[in-house]
Amino acid sequence: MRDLQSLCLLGAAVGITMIATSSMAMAAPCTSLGGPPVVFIENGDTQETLVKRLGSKLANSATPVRLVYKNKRTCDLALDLYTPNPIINDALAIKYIPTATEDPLWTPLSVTPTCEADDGGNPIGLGIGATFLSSCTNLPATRPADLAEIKGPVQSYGFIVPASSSQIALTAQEGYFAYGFAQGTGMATPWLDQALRFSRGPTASTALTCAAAIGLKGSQLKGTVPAGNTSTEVLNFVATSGSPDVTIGVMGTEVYDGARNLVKLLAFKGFGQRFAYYPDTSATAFDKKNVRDGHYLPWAPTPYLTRVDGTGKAVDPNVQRVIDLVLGARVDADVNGLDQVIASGLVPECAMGVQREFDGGNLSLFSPPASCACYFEAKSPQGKTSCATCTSGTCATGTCRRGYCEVK
Amino acid sequence: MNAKNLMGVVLGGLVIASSVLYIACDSSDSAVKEPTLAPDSGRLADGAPIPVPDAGLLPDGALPDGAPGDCFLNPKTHFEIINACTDAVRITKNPTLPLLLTDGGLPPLP
Repeated sequence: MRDLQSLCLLGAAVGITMIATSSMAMAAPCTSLGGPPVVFIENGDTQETLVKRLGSKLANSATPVRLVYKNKRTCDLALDLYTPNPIINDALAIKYIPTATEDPLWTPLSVTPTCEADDGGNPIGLGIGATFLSSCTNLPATRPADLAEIKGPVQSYGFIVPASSSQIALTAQEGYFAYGFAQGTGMATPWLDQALRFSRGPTASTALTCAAAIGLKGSQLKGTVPAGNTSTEVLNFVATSGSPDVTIGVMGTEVYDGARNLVKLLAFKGFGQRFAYYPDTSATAFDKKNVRDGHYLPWAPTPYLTRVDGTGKAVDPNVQRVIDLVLGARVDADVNGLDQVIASGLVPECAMGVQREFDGGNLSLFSPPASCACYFEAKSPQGKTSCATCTSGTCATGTCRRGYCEVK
Repeated sequence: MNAKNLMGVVLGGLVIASSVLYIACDSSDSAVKEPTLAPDSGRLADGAPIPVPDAGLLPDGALPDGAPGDCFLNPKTHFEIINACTDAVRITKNPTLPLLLTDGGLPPLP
């Protein structure tokens, strides 16, 4: 009986391997897909939502561009841009955004099709990290002169627990004792089982920023890193845990926003805070108000890395277009990058009221030169704003931008 | 208006003003109250100070800018920003952590 079971398992494994191999073999070269010009991107997996949303708009715009991307840990992708290394075929899939002609049913919520890099790889046009690169220990001290780092939208992170957990908040000190000590030796009840404290590897932005918020380095987290070291795995392990109260994990909040029915995010109380706060006004809101005004502390800007010419512009104009769209410096008739940033759960810098210089660093007040705080409030899910609408020029409380009366 | 009435008016005004400030700063429907203040303090494992207080709580637990209870109305420093008054949901949590040092600091990692 046992032999029969083993045989069945072996057969299943062989079958899965054959299917996986054949599907890999069937993937077309990314440069032979035809259609729009390609921008190769390596991005943190927290940024995949934005890449898919923006990529869908770009692929079907009047001047189409195809985004081909690979999810990779922030410090690893940054090293690829610094070195520079090409995007290559390995265990991490290369995916591409299809045009509506190629796949009329595809949406940013769909599984993304895969393609293969050319022999020897393809140059990476854009790297999108998801935390301060100063947290990466694998990078040279000096950034190459032709590599620009542009500060992108803000990404917030947090600690998730199963939906049925009774826990509602985490203090920075609890996090320090739970994740900083092996097994249960930190005595941070109820998170005493290291096997059920899920984490990410020390080159992942999620690990680095969450660690900094609890007084640790990414390499000091004593948790369980899933085999593939992905946000999706952490989400699945936490959501399906049979011991909900002792289970915890780290997560980008935009991943959490798409999985609120599966897990819940703990309110977070940083060092020196009187109370714990959610990233949003409440557990059910999506306004990122506490990220924007400094009450919620685990966050970092997303660095955009690209090779630039003597004028500081991206060597590839299609990369420059992507960056300008994301920053809101450009709006095409059929592509509004800022809308995609907001819909992806990120906070544009122009909607922030605070800033910091490094992971876990102190906050200071920030007044963006051209605010989009009202626009962000109106456009975020469940969006509402108390700001007045306007058409152009100056308005009662400042300057009219994007239809709302902003402070300036 | 005699002196007694004047005193009553002044006291009434103070009560109303205090109530307005308290409500602005402390939405009781979103806060879980605890009777005593237990401020976080201490230092990181490597001995460095926790990257916060550039302002501190007074001995009686009040905040130093004259805020009526537990938040800052016009935050400027990091400590004030993270403890600014807000209408957002806030949750009180002061867990018992046996390894916390007596001064509230963090012990070094093993």
